[in-house]
Amino acid sequence: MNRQLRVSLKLKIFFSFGLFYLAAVGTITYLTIRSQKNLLLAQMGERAKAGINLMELSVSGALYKLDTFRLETIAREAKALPNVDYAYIFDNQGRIVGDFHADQRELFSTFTDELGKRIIRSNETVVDTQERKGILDISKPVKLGHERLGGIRLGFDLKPIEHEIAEATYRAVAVASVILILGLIVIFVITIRMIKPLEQLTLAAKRIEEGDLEYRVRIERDDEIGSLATAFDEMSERLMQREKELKESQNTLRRADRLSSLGLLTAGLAHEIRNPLVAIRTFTQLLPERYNDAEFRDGFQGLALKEVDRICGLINDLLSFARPSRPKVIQENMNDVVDGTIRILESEAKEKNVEIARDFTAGLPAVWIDREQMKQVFMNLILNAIQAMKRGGSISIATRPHSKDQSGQAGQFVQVEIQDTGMGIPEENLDHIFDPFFTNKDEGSGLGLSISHQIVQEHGGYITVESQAGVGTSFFVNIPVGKTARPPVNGQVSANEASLSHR
Amino acid sequence: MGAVRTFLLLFVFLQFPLFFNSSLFAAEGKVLVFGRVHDDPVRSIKDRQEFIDYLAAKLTPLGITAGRILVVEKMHLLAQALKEGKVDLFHDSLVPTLVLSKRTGSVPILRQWKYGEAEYAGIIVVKKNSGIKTLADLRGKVIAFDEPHSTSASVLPRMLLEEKKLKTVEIKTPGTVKPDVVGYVYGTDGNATNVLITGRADAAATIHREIERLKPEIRESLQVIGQTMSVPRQLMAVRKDLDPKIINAVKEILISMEKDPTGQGVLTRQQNTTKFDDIPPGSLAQFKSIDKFVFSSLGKEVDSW
Repeated sequence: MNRQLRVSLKLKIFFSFGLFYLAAVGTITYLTIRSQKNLLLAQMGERAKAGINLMELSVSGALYKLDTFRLETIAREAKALPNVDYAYIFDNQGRIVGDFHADQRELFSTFTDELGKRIIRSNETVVDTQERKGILDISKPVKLGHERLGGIRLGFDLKPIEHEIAEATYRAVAVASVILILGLIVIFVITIRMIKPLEQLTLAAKRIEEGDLEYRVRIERDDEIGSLATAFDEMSERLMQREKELKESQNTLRRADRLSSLGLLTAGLAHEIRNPLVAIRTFTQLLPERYNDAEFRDGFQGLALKEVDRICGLINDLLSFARPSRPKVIQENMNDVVDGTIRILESEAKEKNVEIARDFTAGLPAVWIDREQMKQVFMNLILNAIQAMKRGGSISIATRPHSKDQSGQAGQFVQVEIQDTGMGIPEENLDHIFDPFFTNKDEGSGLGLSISHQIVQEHGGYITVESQAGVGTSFFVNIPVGKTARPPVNGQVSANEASLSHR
Repeated sequence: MGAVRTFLLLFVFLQFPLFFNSSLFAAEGKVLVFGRVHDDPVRSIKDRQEFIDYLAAKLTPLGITAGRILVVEKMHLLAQALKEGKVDLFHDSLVPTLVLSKRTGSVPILRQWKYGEAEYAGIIVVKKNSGIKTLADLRGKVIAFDEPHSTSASVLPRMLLEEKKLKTVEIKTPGTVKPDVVGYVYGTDGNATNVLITGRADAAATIHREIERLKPEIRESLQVIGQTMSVPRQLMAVRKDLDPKIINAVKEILISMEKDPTGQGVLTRQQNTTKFDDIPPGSLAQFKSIDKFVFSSLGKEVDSW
């Protein structure tokens, strides 16, 4: 659509300028040809007038005397005038008293054509250009004193003029064509030059819309387009700065959210750590007495190592979750990520008398995710489920492949379902549960689901929720298989990797 | 077709005088018509149209609506027009005026000054180196006159020669002048002086103004050996039956033209006319003697004018 618009804009500008230019060149050419034609006709007219005036000097006396011999001679001498086709001398009655013409009119005959009937009564010089006949007819009354003696009528052949007009027309059209073609080329180049920055701006807007905030137009022009490009780049720079600040804020919020989640786990974790420590203490106290009991000693060693390893693993999980880590998007097995999260929460669940059941599908395709961010998502969802079952209950966590995107179109996803048997979410709240600072709990910031939703979106996935009051709630986290074009916040998907992704 | 066309052209040419009767004279009436004998109607009309317009405009109270000029090539055609009442007035030098007066009864009414001169005289000039010192020396020589009816350059000089008992004979071919007569030729271009200067004649009849117009070296090479009587420069005449009221009005208007700034300009542009005045009473006797010479001595020659 954008492509079509760009082409359309180019065509519009090109055709607008082109048509205007065509009209201008056409008009100028037409006026030039007409002017040239009029000039040539005017020149012919002037020559005709000069010729008839010259003839009048010799005609007056002869016409006064009605010296028809002389008048006939004068008429025949008019042949010497350039391009003369016919010559008539007529008396004050309109009778022809001298002529030369192919039709050999009878002496003292009169004109039969309308122009002839008109000119014998005219007191003015009459110039009549008969382009269809190719004749310029000029007539002039001959007066002596106050007496109208008659007149002279000359016909000039327009063929030489028509030839000149045709040549002038061909020349004008040829020149106009060259000018037109050159002009259209210039207009085309100007159009391209005009549109190119707009295309660059459009591309830049698209790249920025896709998340490439470092993209810059860099058009250096000393005009409005240049100013627009500079403003666009400055806007992009500010946008990048805001985005950076926003990400920092988001990271802060997410870390706060993680720490908050850890805070909620403190009691359970303390219990989880204390129990093995108590067992180790008891065994350690009994060790001097039963030092020689090899079975006791071996059992103690195995148990102690096992409990210490478990505590170390738990602490490592907590540290990796709580520590500000550099985001890193890599291929992960979703089952491992979900299981790791469950391990942290199991003690808390046990504390709250909640059972967590795993229903993982083996052989799921790997997903490109930031493990810690994704664990935060599951942490929020599972903690919310635990908290939603104050009197205990069960949480069923299942993983499976999923083949539809958010709009129902085909896609390849890994789905994680977290289903609880809690009180459910009221229907009127379902549309708001992912809104920042929305919560039904007494404690909590209201950011957990919002951040989870944001993290999943940044991974190119989506979360849906199904809830029935009194029955429970199911959250479905869908993460696309393969790489997302838009990296998660501070994610490190390289440009090459991003280009391989699909949406 | 060509023969028919030639016949028609010839027929029309021979009917030329009739065209004047049928076409040019047809629209007379309250139009004052001025007659003129000249072979160049264009120049004649252009030179005089302003003058006749001025006169016609002044005569409007007498019912004159416009002024026209009729130009004919021969004097007898003007005489015919005067007789038929189709020309009201004309002006010319003395001899043509007297001839037309004799034939039609037209009446000279005013003298017309030209170039500031009321009168002028004809002169006879020869080349200084020709050996001709007196009119008597012209015997056996050839003198050139202007056109036959020219007052100053033809009739008056011939009259002068006759007074000097010098017989004049027209020379048709060069070198045939008898010793006891004065041969004469007419200047083909109307200028006898040219004939003298180019060596085709021994003397020429002309006027002082023409001599003064020559280049100084040519003028200095010429010598005046005789001068005619002085006569009015030009005369204005009217047809015999023209309404006396119009005649009087014409006289009055023409005499007062020189006092009217507009009229003065018109006069100047009309062949450098200075003014009009009454013909001196003493001139009438002079007119009679010239008239007698023209009709007795020139005889049938006058009929061809």
